[in-house]
Amino acid sequence: MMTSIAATIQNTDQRLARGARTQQKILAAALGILGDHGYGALSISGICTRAGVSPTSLYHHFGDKAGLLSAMIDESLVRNTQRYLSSMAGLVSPLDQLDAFMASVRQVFVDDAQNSSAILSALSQARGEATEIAETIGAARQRVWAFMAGKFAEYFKVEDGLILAHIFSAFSSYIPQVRQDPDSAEDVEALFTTLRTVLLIIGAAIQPDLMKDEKYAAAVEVARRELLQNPAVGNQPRSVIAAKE
Amino acid sequence: MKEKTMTIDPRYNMKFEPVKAMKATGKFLNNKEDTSQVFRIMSALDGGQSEKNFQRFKTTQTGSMVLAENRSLFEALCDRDHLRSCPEGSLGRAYLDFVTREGLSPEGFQAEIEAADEEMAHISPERLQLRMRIRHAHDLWHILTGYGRDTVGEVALLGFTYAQTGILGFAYLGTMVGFKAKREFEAMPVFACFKEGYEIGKKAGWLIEADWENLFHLPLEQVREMFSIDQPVKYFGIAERAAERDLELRKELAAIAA
Repeated sequence: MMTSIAATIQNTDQRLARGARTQQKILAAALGILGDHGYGALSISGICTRAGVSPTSLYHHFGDKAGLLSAMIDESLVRNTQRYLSSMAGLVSPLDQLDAFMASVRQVFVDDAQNSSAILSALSQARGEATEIAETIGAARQRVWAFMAGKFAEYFKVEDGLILAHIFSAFSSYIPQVRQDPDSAEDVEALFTTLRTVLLIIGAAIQPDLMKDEKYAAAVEVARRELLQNPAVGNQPRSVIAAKE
Repeated sequence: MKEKTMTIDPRYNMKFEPVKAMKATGKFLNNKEDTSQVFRIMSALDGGQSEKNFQRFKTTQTGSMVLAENRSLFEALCDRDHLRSCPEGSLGRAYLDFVTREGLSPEGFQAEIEAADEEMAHISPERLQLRMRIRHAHDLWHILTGYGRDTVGEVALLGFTYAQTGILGFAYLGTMVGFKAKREFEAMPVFACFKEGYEIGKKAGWLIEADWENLFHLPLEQVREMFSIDQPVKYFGIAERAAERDLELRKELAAIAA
């Protein structure tokens, strides 16, 4: 009797692990197609061929294309959040926290750019699709916003961070746009430099207590000088400025 | 040497330029007198949303009339005799009472805009007409929503305006002012009011197409119902304290200036 229970548990575990592996294979295949060929090429048959699974398996795990897109967004959210939380763990200094935040944004939109851009672009295109897909995407966006709103509220110590999440989401979608230009490296650098500079100044303006931290105060002074004196901190690509000089 | 020809796009700014907006923010925080930076932020974060609003406005009954008749809300708001002739409890009278109580004037507002908005010279006359119409309606929006001119009320109204216009600049400015207010109005739910404003704005009818000139004589409550504008419960819960605190801050500033 005990042997048969143990065998059943073992079989169930194996089945679950196999199921999780299949899910991951399908998600990776879908992401690969989005990255290589864009949302227009994302078909159930194409995903199944690339993942080496049957359509029945895909429908079993995700229901339909809308369910698959929704799972991709959730998976990306969980992955990026875990990355962000682990980078922030144990940091006390506000300057270190800001730099860790900047590093995780960079990781999502520069180092992991192909995946992030693929998902963002799919989100944008899928909104114009069939009602069911548009609704699923809408619901997924709401979940992402609600999650980010909670994080922002916690970080900035405010009651609600929904509108902050809207702003962050809009600013984030700008990075893949800039990166579409093959010569965008300088622009992306200028963007991150400006973002850090302005976040430092905004931090000092809204939370004067931050200026009690010597490292932070010194960084704000440098940021102010850079913003007012260095034309590279702004909208103009550094390459253009260098050519002028 | 070949002379460069510059084409001026008569549309609103179609670009979304967050870096430009951030740079303007930094400059504004360094010098709060430089209000032109606020207009730069708004333009940089427009991303074609004003153009979308304009195209939508044109197709509405009021929009096509306003544009065809070259109507100016500014002139209507300056016509104090007409506003005074509106019945007690009407939108027109409420507006007149509001600007008198707050020491405001549409003329002063117009002058402020003209001095600081660099984009005015570039956009087409029709678009400028709509832009000015929306700006001059700001105090009417205060009255309809019930938001006061204290800082928390302004933040909440920015949330409402963001929902109505879809322009991210309003969300961005609201956030900046909200952070400042959070510091000055300790223990007040500034960001909860901000979100409430956004939600009320989302649910309400599209105020951009309001036929203001023909609404002045109507009872205020009727206009609110017409546009499904809910009461801001969270804000009303703190409005009195917010107004008192606002007065204290103004007195503190005046004492510093003296």
